Amino acid sequence: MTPIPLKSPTELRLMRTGGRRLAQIRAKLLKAVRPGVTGLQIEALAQKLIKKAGGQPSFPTVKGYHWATCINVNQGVVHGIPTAYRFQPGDLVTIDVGLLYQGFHTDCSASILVKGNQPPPAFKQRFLNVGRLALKKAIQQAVPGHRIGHISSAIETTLKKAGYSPIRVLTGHGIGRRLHEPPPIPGFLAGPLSQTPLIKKGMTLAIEVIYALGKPEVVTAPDGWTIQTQDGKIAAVFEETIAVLDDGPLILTSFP
Amino acid sequence: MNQKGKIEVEGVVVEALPNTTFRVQLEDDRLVLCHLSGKMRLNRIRVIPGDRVKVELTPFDETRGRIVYRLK
Repeated sequence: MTPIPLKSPTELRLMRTGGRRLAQIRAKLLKAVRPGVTGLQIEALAQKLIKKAGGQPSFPTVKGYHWATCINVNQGVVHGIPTAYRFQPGDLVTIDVGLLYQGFHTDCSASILVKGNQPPPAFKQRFLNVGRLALKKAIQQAVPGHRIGHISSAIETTLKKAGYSPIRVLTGHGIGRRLHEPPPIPGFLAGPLSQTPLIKKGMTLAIEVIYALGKPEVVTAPDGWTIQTQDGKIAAVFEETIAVLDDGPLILTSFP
Repeated sequence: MNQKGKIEVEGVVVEALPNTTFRVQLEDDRLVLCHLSGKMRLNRIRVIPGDRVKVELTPFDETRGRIVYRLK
């Protein structure tokens, strides 16, 4: 496995600033999700906010992708290209946004239900709450001396206990000067725990909880980017970029 | 022989599994289970975790691929 780049305290401080700005951008984007709003509008808002924050969008660094965000609705999981589809009340919208600030990438995602006249169905609320909880438990495992497998199994057990499935073909990842760095951080334990990489101080990881209500099989849509569930059931993503410090994890994509 | 529909992508080998199968992570973060192509086996080309490789994907199952080239 290629070595995992570690960041110095100065670099971590830069990433923390970038992460804080990205978290503020994400909060504004989530607030902008209302019935009738389109993905393209969210994308335009994101580009404006990113420029104002003094950075550049991360996602155009991926070959062939020309947008600053990934917008996924209902059965869309990840990599959704922003479209002119208008959000309906009750839709599950996932926004994934990345910021390149001072040479370092930070990446975060969140899923939200579009508010309408009636409160959304309870099973959808529960679906999102479990995802948030899984991410929180996963982040708690990012301690020097633990292994990536601890993070993966935390995600897997929290999701399975609620009856949901982690998507197997998509993973979290290291992050830093490149948007995707080693190691991959799957949402499930793929092999023996002892064979997963050791977590060290100075690592910056984008931990993603990517899961579906139904079966974990996914297909790529005809647009060549959007990945959606094969059985058409809803899927959500929660992601934060964290740094591993001596005494434990620090969530970089949070504010204050 | 499959003339149309196959997609070529690049990725990094993450894990070596038994029977010359490898888990490869593509540029867009997707994990794919790949096997080594016959031509590479014949020419005794070795693949190790960390190598950048070219993978052929079939539209019928996007989670399985074939490693066809090892990039320097």
